[in-house]
Amino acid sequence: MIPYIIRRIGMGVIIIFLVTVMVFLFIRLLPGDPLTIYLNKTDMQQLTEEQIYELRVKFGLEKTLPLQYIEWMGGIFTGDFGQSIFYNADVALLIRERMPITLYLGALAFILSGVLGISFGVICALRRGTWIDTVVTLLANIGVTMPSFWVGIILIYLLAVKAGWLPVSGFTSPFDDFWLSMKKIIMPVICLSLFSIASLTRLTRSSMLEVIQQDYIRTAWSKGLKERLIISRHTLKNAMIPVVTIVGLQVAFIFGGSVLIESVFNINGIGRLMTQAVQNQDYLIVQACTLIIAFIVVLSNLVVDISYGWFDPRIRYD
Amino acid sequence: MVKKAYNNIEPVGTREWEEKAPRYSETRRMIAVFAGRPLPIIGFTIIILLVLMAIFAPLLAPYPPNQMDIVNKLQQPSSAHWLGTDSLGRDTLSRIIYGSRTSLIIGITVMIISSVAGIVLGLMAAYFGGATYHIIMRFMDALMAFPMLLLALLIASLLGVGMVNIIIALGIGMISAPCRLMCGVVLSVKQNDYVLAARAMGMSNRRLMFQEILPNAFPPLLVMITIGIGAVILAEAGLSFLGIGITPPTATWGGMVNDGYKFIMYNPVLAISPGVAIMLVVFGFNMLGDGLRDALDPKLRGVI
Repeated sequence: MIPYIIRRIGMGVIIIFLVTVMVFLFIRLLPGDPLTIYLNKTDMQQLTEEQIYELRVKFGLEKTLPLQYIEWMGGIFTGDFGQSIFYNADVALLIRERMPITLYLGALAFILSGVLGISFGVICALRRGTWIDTVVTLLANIGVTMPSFWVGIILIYLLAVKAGWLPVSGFTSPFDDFWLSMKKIIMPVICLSLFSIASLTRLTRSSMLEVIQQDYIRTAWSKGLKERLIISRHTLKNAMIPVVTIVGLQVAFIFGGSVLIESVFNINGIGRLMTQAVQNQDYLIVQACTLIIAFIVVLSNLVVDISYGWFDPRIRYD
Repeated sequence: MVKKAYNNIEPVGTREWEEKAPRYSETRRMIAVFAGRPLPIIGFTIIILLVLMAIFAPLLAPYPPNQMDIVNKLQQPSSAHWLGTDSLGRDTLSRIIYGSRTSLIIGITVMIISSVAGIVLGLMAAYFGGATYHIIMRFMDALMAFPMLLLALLIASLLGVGMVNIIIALGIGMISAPCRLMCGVVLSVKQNDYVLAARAMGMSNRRLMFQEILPNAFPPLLVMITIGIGAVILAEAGLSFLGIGITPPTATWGGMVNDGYKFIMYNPVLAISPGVAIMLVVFGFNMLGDGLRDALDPKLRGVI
C-alpha cells in the first residue's frame, strides 16, 4: 500500500505543476496583451509607448517565459497573487475572506450528495422493479437534467416568496446566528448537491445491479451467509469501486455549481467573486480562484485515488 | 465502457436458449433493443423535435424573437402570447423557439471540436506510448482538475464574452473525456489476438487503426458525444445565466432564466419556461445516449 500511496502523491504533484503551467500559459497563449491583466484597458490607451514599456519591465513581462513562470510561482508560494484592478486590493486577502463560505457550503453539499446518492442507489438496486425503484430512478433521471440555478429560482419562488418559510437569499455565518444560518443554507445546499445526488444514485444503482449478478454473490448466498453480510461485505464494497471515482469528480462539479448558486442566492463566496471579476475583466482574481480550486480538486482526487486502493486491492500492483 | 472483444465471440452451444434463439441481423437487433423501451424513444423524439424547431424557427415562432413591444411588457400568458412577454415586451415562446438554435449550435460545435481533438490526442497517446502517453494523459488529468464552468470563466475573462469564445472555452473543457476514452479503448484493443493476427498478415498501421481499432471505439464514443451535447447545453445555459455567455439580445435559454428571475414576482412563467426547455433537451440527449449504449452493447447480442 505504501509504494502505491507514494506513487499517487508523486502523480498529484506533477498534475498540480501542470495545472499551474496551464493557468500561466493561458494568458500568454491566447490573443491579447498580457499587460491588460495588470491594467485597465481604458487606462492603457492614455499611456505613451515608453510608459507602457516601463510597466512591462515593472511587471517582468519582457523576460523569457520560463523566467516569468518561476517569478510568478515564487509569488504564489509566498501568498502573493497580485493586486486586483477593480477592488484595488490584495487578491489573496479577497480570497481569504470569501473562501470559507464556499468551502462550508460545498462541504455540506458534498456530504449530503455522498450519503443520499449512495443510499438511494443501494435501495433502488436492492428493491429492483418495485415502485420505490421506479420513482427514485425516474427522479434521478430528471435530477441530472435540471439546471441548478433554475431549481434555485423555483425553490426561492415556492418556499421563500409564496410560502414564506425560508429567507429569500443571503448568507449568515453559523457562528453569528446558527438558526438563521441554517435556514439560509437549506436551499443553496439542495441546489448544489442535486445534480450529484442524482448522478450518484444512477451510478450506484447500476453498479450494484452489476455486482449482484456476479457468481461470487451467488456463492455467498448458497453458503448461507446472512443477507446483511452479503450486502455490506460482498456487494457494497465491490459496487463502490466505480462509485468512488465519481464521488471524487463531484468536488469539481460542486465548485463549478457554486459559481451559479452563489449568484442566485446572493452569497458572497468565491463563485460570486469570480463572476464579478469576469464582468470587471479582473483577470488576476479569476486566475487565483481557478488555481486554488484546481488545487483542492487535485487534492481530493488524490484522497479518492488512495481510498480506491483500499476498495480494490488489485490496482495497488499496477 | 470498454467492451473487451472476447465478449463478441458467442459461445457455441453452451446454453440451450442461445441455440434456439432466431438469428437477427445486427442492425435489427440494435433497433429492437433501442425501440424496446419507451425512454430512448422519448429521448429520440425530443431531439428530432428540437432539431426541427431550430431549423424551422422563423416559421414556428409567432413573433420575431427580438421584436420589442413596450406597451405589452410583462404580460401574463394569453392567446396572443402563449407564455407571456418579458420586460421588453418580447414574446417568450418565440424566444424559446429561437433559443433552441443557440443551444444546438453550441452543443454540437463544442462536441465536434472537443471530440476531434480528444480522439486525435487519445490515439496519439495510446499509439506512441512512452513519454507521449504520459505527457498527454497528465495534461488531461490537469485539465480535469478545472471545473468546466471555472475554465470557461477563466477564458471568458481573457477573451471576453461571445459565441466563439464560449465555444473555445467549453471545447477545451470537454477534451479530456473523449481523449481518455479513446486512449483506453485503443490500449485494450491493441492487446487482442485479432489485432496481432491482422498485423502478422501485414496490415498497415493506418488500416489497422481504421478497420480494427476505430470500430471498437465507435460505440462508446457515440454514447459519450450524445450525452456530452446535453452537458454542454447545460453548461452554456449556466454561462448565459451569469451573463458571461452569448451576448444579448440573442435568445438563449440561460439568459432568459436570468431575465425572468428579476420579474419572478410578476410572472414566474418567464423564468420557469426556458428552464423546462433546457430540462427537456438535456433529458432527451441523456435518454438517447442511454438507449444507444444498450443498443450498441455487444453483451446483449443474441439475447434479444
